[in-house]
Amino acid sequence: MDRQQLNQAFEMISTDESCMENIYNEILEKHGKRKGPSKIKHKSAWTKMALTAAALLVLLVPQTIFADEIKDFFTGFLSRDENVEEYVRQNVYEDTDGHLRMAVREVLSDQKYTRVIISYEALDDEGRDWIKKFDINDYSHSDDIGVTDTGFPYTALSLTPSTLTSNSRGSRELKEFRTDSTLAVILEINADRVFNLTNNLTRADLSYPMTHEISRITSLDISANMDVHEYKLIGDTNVNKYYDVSYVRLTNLSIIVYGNQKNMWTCEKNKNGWYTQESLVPEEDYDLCRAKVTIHTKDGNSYNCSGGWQGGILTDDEGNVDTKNHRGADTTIMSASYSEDMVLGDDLKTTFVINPEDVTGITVNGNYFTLEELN
Amino acid sequence: MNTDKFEMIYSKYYGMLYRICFLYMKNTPDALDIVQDVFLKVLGGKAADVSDEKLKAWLIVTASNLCKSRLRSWWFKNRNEYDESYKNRFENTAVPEQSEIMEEVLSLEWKYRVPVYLYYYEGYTTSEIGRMLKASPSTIQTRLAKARTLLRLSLENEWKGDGGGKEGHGREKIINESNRHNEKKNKERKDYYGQTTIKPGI
Repeated sequence: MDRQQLNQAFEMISTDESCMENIYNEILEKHGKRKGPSKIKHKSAWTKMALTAAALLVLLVPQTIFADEIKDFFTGFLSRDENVEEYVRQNVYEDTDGHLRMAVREVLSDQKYTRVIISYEALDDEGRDWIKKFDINDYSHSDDIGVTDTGFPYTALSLTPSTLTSNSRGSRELKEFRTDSTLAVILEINADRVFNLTNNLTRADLSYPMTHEISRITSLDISANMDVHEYKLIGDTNVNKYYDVSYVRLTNLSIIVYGNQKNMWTCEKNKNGWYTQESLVPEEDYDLCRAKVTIHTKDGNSYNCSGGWQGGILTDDEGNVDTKNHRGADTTIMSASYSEDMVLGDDLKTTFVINPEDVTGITVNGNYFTLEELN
Repeated sequence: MNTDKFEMIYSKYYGMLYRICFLYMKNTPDALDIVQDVFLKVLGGKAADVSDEKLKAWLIVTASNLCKSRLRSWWFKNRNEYDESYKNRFENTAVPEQSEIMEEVLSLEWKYRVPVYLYYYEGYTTSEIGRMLKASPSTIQTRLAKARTLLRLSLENEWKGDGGGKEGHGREKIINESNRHNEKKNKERKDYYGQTTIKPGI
């Protein structure tokens, strides 16, 4: 296939002239600028429509103003980043109680971590009062806003089944969207820290408060299609007396470093088929165990991920050590999503998104590794 | 904007906009809908400050944004009525090879097929496409390279049958890799929806 053939194929994407003309007329009609003889024909219809619209306008003034506010209020947060824009799902869910309108504006997930942007907009004075009192960090005064501390955003977003999984990992208000009648919150959850992020994220139960309700609950589809990259770590993999590192999973949202433990954990099943994992690491070595991971990118920036979480032994659903699904690795050395709060050093950059294709290497406990993509 | 100028713009860019919208949406009704929206913006004066030289790029960016927005919308993701229709759209063409090429182009993800069109048909550079699609030039280059590989392989395979010899073996290897990738993706999808196990607590 050459360029000429390709372009000839593109020429096939066309409509006939009548379609082109019809669309043209529809555009003019919609814009109210039909020219020529037909203008007279449509003038009457347009006048009627204008009168109807004017009448409706009188009836719908408050709602129309509100609609304008909505239009201007949320301009996108996650979708601003070109690296993930195409993966962001927008306007996933909305609800109202007459005083507030709650909406799930954006969802971004890489199967292991998910970020959700939720907005509230006031529909009346009661809604405005609720928004005025809203403070995502103020759990002790939650009664002021009509909810208890178990139902407010920090714990409001949880995974299914919620009884066995972790709740929202982090939440914070996006202050740039705060007005007297609007606010937006970013929530993040992970697949399941307790079980080493074994399963992928597919659904999350979102519980959210309204003006007179502790919480409403809905089930959100948070499955993802984001590209996942896995790289073999090339370098001295003996980075700690308790573990080696082997490979890293990178997406636009998160990093997970896998490796093999050395007398760090026990994993035992009891007679009922339940299993337990226990750390063999003495208390004085806890800090030594904690992996210090930094990501290095093409542009010379470094991103500190040392605030990440360290897992236990990777197991299957029966509690057996599972290395075959993890490229021979048996433990999660470190797992973290990119976010401002994990950036500790002054010279390190703040980010929410890192493009895996821009990563040149990572440092684990001072050892630098280049990356070799795995199939 | 006066109607005469609008008519000139419409005649000049209708075909291009329809092609771009179709490449995104893969169906005629949605493509025409968005073409209409773009021109309504023009008529409404949204492009009034855009110079004639930049109007074409403005139209492409506006159409791309509208298409992406619609592709991301909940209701679009949850309807299926047009999913397969594009495959039959070009079957009755007089030039079967072109039909095959178009089917292959449309089977690519939009992030590949749109840069291919802008690069090869419209003649934009990778940095210009990057600015229009909000991606870095290197990202566009990577996407073009991948699109080229995917198109060349699949089309050669269809045109030349099973191939054979050294060249055929090479294609087979890469196609197998592609199949393995698809299998992996399918498995991942299965994992998403098959996730029902509750493990005992630690």
